[in-house]
Amino acid sequence: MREMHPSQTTDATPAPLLEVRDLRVSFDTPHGLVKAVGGVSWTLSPGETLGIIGESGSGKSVGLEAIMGLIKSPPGHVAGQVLFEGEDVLTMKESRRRQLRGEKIAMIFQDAMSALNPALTVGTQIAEVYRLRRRCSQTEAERKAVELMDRVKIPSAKSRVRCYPHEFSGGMCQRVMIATALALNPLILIADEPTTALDVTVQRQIMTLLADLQREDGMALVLITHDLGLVAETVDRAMVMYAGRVVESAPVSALFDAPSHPYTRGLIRSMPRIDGASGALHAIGGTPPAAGRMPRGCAFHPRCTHRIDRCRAERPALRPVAPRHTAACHLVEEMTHD
Amino acid sequence: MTDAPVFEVRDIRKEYALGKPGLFGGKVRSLTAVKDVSFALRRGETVGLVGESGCGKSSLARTVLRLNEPSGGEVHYHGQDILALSRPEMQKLRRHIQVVFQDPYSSLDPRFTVRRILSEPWQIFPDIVPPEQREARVAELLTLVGLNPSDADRYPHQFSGGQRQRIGIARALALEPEVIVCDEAVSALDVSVQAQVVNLLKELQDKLGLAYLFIAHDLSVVRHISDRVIVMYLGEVVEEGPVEEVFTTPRHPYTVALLSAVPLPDPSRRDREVIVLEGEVPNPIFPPSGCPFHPRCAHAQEICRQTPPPVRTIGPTRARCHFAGALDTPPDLAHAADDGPS
Repeated sequence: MREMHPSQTTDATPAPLLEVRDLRVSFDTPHGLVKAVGGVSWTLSPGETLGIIGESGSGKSVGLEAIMGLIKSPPGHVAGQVLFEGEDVLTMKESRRRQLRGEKIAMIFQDAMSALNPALTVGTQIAEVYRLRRRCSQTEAERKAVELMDRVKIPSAKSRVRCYPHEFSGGMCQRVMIATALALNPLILIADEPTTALDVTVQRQIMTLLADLQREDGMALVLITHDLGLVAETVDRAMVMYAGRVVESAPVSALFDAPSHPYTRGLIRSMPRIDGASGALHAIGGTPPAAGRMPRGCAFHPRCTHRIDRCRAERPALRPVAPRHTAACHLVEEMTHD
Repeated sequence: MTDAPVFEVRDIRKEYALGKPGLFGGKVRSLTAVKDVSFALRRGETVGLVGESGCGKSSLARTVLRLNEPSGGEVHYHGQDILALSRPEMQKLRRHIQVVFQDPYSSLDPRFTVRRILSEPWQIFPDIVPPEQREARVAELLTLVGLNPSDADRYPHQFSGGQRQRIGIARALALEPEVIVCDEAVSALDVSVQAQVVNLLKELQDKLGLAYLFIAHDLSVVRHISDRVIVMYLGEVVEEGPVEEVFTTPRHPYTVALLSAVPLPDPSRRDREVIVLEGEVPNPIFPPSGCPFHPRCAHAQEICRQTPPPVRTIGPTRARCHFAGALDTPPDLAHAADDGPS
């Protein structure tokens, strides 16, 4: 279906760096096969910042982990295509995929403190990939580690390169992880809730750092988050996920100015704002469906105030709302005009 | 809102000794987690408490509840100093002051049904609800927090995070308290569910006249729910006042930076000027001289390095800064106050 690839229809879009086609992830569980991601398609252009928004269990992290080859099979099953510069990542040899990881695509995680090895110095960890791939000496590796620590603005890098992770704060550990990811100058950085565990002033420092790094070498960034504020301030384009599928995808200004899916609208209206607004928050009733207990039809229909009979029976496909803006709702025309 | 405070904290202080003295004595280093904090809670009022990790907000909560013994200060409940109470007396008083914790997954016993979780407090306070009325009261509590009376026979694992937090709130309400301390009570919840719980807390407050001490690191939620707000940094209150005042005309440079750092869900305001604080919160074992915020403060002068600042009162706000009131509010915060929600 043509609507599935909205970004291809605009002429100004450069050739995508990464193209995800109908990605599906499911897991064997004692209760049978559970779908975590049910057919997601998107593209990423060089240097672009894409935001993936969703609540817990929406499939936002699992999809990206599948792309990185971090889903163990069994119990996991990954289907679909992930094309990096035209080559399918999912079917390539493991050795080739390893090469791609780090060199071309790197990933950072929410909890930097536990993602780092407590028994190795930060310098060793930062330069590990570099030392193994570039086959350089320990001294050269340490020099590289200091250089990377300088890049991510860790103060007095030279004297701290031999420190252990426990000697660093949470924010500094996240910088160490970013330095690790940058070692081989990847073209894409996937950041999964990189600041969720951090205080707001430290979050601001890390996001400023990521933006500076992107500006310096034109790296593309995929930001996975539940924080709408972070998305509004950081990304070019955003995708909203609900129950394992994309429900809306749009340039970030359109997403906030003219949200077209009832779930996106609900999310924006349920958020308390730092710049005012009192009275009752417009909460979305109910809770997101548990994986394995997906409602029929549109997964959002049990919580949707606009639902009609058709929503119970038939799952809506992503349909164009405006250029580069799609939403998966049967009532999308009414939504956009109301 | 009546004038006499239900709950009042005066100059509360909590120090932790680091290690024990050696055989021949010697000085033991200590960490001051909470430094002379005062506030009052009136009926139907919410005081928000904000600050970053390590600022002492959770220590403060534990100390005013007497879960940790304070090192100094007074805590009054209806004028009575609860720090002077014996253990049994304190236990009796606890029914009036309840807590809702952050993690709804670990604060409910997984082996108990919801009925047992909600009726257990009555084992200790049998007079509150007579045994023959307990069944009906459980159903009533569940309805009050938006759950179904039939949920009483289910176990915590059968509920989602938001529903468990509702159970936690129902448990706090079982003893008909006047004060509830919400320690990051909505922080672990997803946005759409968080809004439901915030609305529930407000409704219950209107209905029952509860007073809340609402501790959270999420400034937006605090602004939404609080009447007054206290900002803490390194164990000290740096600013306090009515919530609208503090959020629109913050007087302390730390409050200004904290508010400025919050991302706004509005792409058109992306290019506004943002204050990026340098460095991190200092180690509380070795607090900086003078004003504890001076190493990170853009306005720091010699006096800030030397002398701890006094508390200055500017209108309804109090701020602990040598230059409070003399600093300009950044235009973006002032501006943010005018246009409100879009």
